[in-house]
Amino acid sequence: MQKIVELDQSIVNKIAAGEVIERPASVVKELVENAIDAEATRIEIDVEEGGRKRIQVTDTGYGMVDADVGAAFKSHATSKLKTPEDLFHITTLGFRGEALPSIGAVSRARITTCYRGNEIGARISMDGGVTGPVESTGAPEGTCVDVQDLFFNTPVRRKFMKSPAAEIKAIADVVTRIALAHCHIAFLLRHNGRRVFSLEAGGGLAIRIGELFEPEVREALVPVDFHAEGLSISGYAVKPSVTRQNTTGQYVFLNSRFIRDRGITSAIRKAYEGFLMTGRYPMIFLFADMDPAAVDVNVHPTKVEVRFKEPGAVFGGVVRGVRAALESADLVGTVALDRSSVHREAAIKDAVGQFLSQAEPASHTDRRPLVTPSLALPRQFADAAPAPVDAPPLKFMQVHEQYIVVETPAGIRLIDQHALHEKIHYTRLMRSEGPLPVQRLLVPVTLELSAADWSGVEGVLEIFRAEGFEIEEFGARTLAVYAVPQLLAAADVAELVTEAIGVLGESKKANVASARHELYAMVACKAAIKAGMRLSPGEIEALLEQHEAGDLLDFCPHGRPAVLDLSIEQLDKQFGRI
Amino acid sequence: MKIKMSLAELSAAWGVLTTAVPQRSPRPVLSNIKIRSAEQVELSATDLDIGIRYVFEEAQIEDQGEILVNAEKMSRILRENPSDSIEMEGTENGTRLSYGSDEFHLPGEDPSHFPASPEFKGKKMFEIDKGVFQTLIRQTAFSAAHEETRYALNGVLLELSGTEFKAVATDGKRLTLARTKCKGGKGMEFKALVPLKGIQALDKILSLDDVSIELGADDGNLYAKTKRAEVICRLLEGNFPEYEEVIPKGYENRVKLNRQVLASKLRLADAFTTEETKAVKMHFEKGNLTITAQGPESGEARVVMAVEYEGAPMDIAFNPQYFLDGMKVLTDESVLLEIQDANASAKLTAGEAFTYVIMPLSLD
Ligand SMILES: Nc1ncnc2c1ncn2[C@@H]1O[C@H](COP(=O)(O)OP(=O)(O)O)[C@@H](O)[C@H]1O
Repeated sequence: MQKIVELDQSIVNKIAAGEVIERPASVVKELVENAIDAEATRIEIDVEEGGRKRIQVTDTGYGMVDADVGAAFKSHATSKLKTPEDLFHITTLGFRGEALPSIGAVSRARITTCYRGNEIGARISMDGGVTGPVESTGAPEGTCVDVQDLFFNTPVRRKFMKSPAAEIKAIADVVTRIALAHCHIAFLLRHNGRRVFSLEAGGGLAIRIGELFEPEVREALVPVDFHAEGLSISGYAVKPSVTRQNTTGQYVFLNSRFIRDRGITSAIRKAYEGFLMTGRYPMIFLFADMDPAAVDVNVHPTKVEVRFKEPGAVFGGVVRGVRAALESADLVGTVALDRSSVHREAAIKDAVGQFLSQAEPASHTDRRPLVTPSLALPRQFADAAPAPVDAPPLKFMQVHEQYIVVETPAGIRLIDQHALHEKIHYTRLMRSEGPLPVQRLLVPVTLELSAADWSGVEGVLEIFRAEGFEIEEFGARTLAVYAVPQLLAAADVAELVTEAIGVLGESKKANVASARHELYAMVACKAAIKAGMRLSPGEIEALLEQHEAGDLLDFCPHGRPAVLDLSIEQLDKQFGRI
Repeated sequence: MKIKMSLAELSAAWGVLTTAVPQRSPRPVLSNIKIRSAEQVELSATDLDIGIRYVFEEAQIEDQGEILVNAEKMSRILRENPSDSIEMEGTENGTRLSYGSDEFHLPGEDPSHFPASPEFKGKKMFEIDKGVFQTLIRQTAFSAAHEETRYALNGVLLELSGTEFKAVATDGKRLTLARTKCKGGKGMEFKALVPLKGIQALDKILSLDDVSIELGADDGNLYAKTKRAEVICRLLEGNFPEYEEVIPKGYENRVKLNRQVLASKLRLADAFTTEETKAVKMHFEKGNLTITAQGPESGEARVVMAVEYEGAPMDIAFNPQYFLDGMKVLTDESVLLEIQDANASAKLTAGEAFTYVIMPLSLD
């Protein structure tokens, strides 16, 4: 039985040409997807030196017959599409018939396979694009693709490979995505012989998430279940008690294929509206299933982007499904902010009132204790502290609990309270000169990392140590922190380190300077007044004073300004006075 | 419903109840305080993490029923302290407040939408002296964490074992333990990890005249009761560190220090630290403690106090604020400081009742 046919030229033309193999992680992705298409129940991935030296994927799928082996390295040889129509009904993961030849063109690759039920297997190799003969060989059922010396004949690509730690992290990310969508398959990922993760088959999504992510994520899962005509949305939303600083914690799958879609990202944001602090992003594991004919998956060759025929229905479904899940969950105590317009209006009225009177700070609820206060309470109880009595000399007001408007000699100044405060903190941190005190901890803080983050941790620990952390590996996927730089000691140690490792693992050239920037930027952001925080006149004044005093570093982590000035002339012009 | 209430008592009660009114909430009904009149007048507020119920003393009840009063609006009225008493009446479309010649109407919200306060009946509780309890929580709450996402540190652990009652708090860099003998609740098990907000509410309630407080807890909640008020507070989840193991049994190098002198010397040195290097170095030698601080821009301080130190010379660095925080919550004339070496924790005690463990800074 010959399963592989060469693609009709008309199909070839329909397929967007594009690079498939960009880095070791793309090889892993293609090979693992092939194994899944071959109905494997267990897939083992062995990587050496971040994939630069070797990537080997072994599966328990149905394997290939001899004739297929011969065709496997031919361009546009695929057993998965027969006619142009098939292209619109894509259900298997691979369909372009060019992964194996593309890999073979830039490495020394060898396929060893044995078709299910056959006694004898076959072997073929491709060395920098040159295919060898098909040879018979003894082999277990299934397929093993071994890829060595990736990019050996394309020196530029080889040079642009990142450090082994960064590449294995990208590989672990890829396998994480695939593994989430295929809980019925067991996975094993090893790097330089050391196990990165091993995932059992058949335990269901929640268990798989548990195997792959840190315990806080596991404990915060809320099931999502939404059904409409031709569309089903399932999976787990993560309670807002666990958040990320970007959208990398959002795993969205369309018909089991990992996708990135701006529309869905913003639908998720919408569903979480009111639950999150600004600058924080939710984590989610979302599976949308619909008729393959209702999507065009071939928009981009790496196949993570899609185009929906009816985007509105999908986005609406995501918003409703996720929102319903969050509302049904017990989120009391984790709800960060409610920015309902009603409340905003009241807040604005308050602020205006306060601006006009200036003498007496109004607060949303009068929390000034009528009986003598005595507990020294922290910032979060700032409302409970007696408000300063003396009237501020400057004219300013806070609006929308987010911006501050100040009268200046030349006009008015608009301040983003969070951005400015963050900048002040960041400047202070970056200007501090070592050696800085290191605060020892009473009990070491232990933290469990996600499998992907753990895979790249070796390279990162040195950087933390250089910054003054005392940090050690402490068993499987766990780190222990014994001391932290005093400057960072007010932050949540576990959260800070986990997040920094995530960010540093992603970055191309993680070194001490970039790590320093990341850590301080993170701390500055966390320590800064948040948008949505009500400030007392005293607090606003303090902020303005610090702004006056500091010549601040140019730092815009979000690429946006902290302060805007409007001159009287500009205002006059706008009002048609001049 | 129609009642007349003393404004002085209402002011005091309102100040306590508003601790439980959420700043913002997806449920707008919670921005109110519920007033219910039956045989007595009862006020309640909740943000669903904490609920407070207060039974009013000086009220005349003309008609029974329930109303909701916007917490902020009433605070504004009370701030003006306009009269001796105030009348409240439920009307067809809301609530009418009046005294003297002034009158206010609050739009109606259905009081039945306000969450019911949980029952206290049948809860096992024990009694503890108000002043003692207040001291304990004030001596510990300051060292709790505020930022942690490991929520278990954002509160104070209250524990009764045998006849000993303890309060413990830590932010991971220091830990306080305050304890007292407590005769109530013999043979009763009590352990509750109370969030700071709950601690603050208890502190406020105790500032209304009462002689004692009753405490109890089940799996998820703390129950507290005074003569006029009841507080229910959702407990923190998660593991509180094994605090007994963190407290050193005692070190060889011990030195008795005058609390006020030490605080004063530390404040002097602290003035010469910067936000970046909040560190003072303590040098102990026979007869003297020298405290130094320095910063690139802030200058240098060197202050000396005479102490009865007998051990070998020793250097150890700390965040001075940690010490000052501790000095502030004590009234004792002297404290005992025990140290081991530059990297081990220091233990500061004021008698049996107060223990404070502080982790040092490494300076190089
Ligand atoms: N692990 C595998 N097990 C069985 N067959 C495989 C495997 N990998 C590749 N093949 C066969 O080789 C063909 C070509 O693979 P490839 O070049 O990756 O293209 P595609 O997967 O896009 O069809 C596939 O269509 C499939 O029939």
